[in-house]
Amino acid sequence: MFGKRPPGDEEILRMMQNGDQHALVLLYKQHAGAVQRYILRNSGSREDAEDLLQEALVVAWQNAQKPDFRLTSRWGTYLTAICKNLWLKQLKKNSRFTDEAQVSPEKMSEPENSSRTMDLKKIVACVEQLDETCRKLLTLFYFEGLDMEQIALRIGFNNADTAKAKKYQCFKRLEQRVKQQYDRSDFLG
Amino acid sequence: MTRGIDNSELIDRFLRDEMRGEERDVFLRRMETDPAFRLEVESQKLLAEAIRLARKNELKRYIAEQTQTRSARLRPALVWSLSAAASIAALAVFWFTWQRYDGSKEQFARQDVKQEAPQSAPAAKETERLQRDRAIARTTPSPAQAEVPLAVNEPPPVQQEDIDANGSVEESIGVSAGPPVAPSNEKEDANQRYVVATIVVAVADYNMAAKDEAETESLSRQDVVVTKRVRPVGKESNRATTAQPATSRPATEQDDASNRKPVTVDRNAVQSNYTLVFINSKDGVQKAQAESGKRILLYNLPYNNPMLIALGGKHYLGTAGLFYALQPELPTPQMLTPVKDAALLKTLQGE
Repeated sequence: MFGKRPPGDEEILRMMQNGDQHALVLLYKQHAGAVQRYILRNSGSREDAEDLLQEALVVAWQNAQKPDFRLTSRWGTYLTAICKNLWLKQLKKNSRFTDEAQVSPEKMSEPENSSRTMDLKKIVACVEQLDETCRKLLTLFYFEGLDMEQIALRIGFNNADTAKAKKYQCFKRLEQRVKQQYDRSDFLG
Repeated sequence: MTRGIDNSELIDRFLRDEMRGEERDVFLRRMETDPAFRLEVESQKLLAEAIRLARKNELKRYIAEQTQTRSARLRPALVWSLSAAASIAALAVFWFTWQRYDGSKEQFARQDVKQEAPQSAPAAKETERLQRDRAIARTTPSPAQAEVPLAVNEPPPVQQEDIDANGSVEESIGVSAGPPVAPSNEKEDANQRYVVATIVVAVADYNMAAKDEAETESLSRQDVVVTKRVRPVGKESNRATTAQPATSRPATEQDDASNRKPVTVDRNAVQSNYTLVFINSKDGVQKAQAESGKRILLYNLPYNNPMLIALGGKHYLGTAGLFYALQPELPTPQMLTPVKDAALLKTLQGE
């Protein structure tokens, strides 16, 4: 009659620790307003607020995976604190660039688009091309920071040794893929 | 494969900051003394970074899709710093990787793995003094230094348009090691020529905001000369083609250093299609320049050491990442940052 009660903080934390990404959406919907108000009051735009909250949620997700993570405040307080820090850092950076460089945005983003620049984006693309198991395994290890036992449980491998061997294979596959993406011209122009 | 897994696991433990005490010390020492191992570490680090970034993007995309907001954009400032850092790291590692898979493993043995961190402004003056002292010390070669090759590609025919238009290299100090010699490539050998050496300079104000990037980008490789001190451009550029000595100037401590015995080089250790050049003295630089007839690039070999580049009449700082990136091509603007320290600039400009 009254609809389903929205999940509480602890429940959201459990969802995150179980790898349920929907927790991020719940947090976003619950806290977008507060973050937006803060950013708008502090020389930011609505877009800045969206970016920042996404960024903060990623940080929160990563932290929630740590075995010793304890949520000692409300999610709202926690996320707002992360957003504030990120925003202050951003403002500082913006002001430094304005003072020192006065580089136009077009110029500043140029390196990203430069065909001469071999950057992380290309390697990220290689990661995205991996099969799902490999991608999941590698990200659980390198991003979520899980150990092999946890990964074995999460993915459904027999044990940690299997996960370890598979992780090595996947890493080598990625390395191979990256190597194939480049040739001499990438280095020598 | 077990060994591979073990190594990979070890590196992961290091990258995840799970190493402590003696184990960590041993690991760091191994990185310093075993360039092939260092390559593995850096390569793994870079891939791990890419994996993290991919996951981050994936999560952001998911949030954006589910909340009907747009995907987060990267702000220009972030793009700039990320791209610059990533490019340096990527280029460093993949240059290494490429070398390695090219079967030139023995090159690693010739690299100097000494590391020095970039200096902050207040430390610059003191560092300069220390480095000058070190340079003097280096000119008396130790057994370890005695067989340090420096490599230069086969000289191309000298053409007027190839002459360095920006100034001559006055002096260079502190050669410590040779580069991984680029595998022969006919096209390159015909057109390019480079010199590799360590150059030790005092640096300050390390900042990635390269405001002169547009200008930097427009310069060709012929314009690039890395020096300890650069003289104003102009007439001196002709000297490069005629192998004449540079204009005389008052003797300095560094002259004194440069007049000492040069580092000897084991020529047999270098492939026959490369010419060796001594770069540890003023004469060495002049000789290299005369032989090449044009561009000379000096690279700072130690990985994190700052280097100085005189480019288009301006001075920039780079890191050793540049060394790998540049070999032997033009530095991309995002790897350079202008020198801002007034005292250093004054010295560099010979005022």
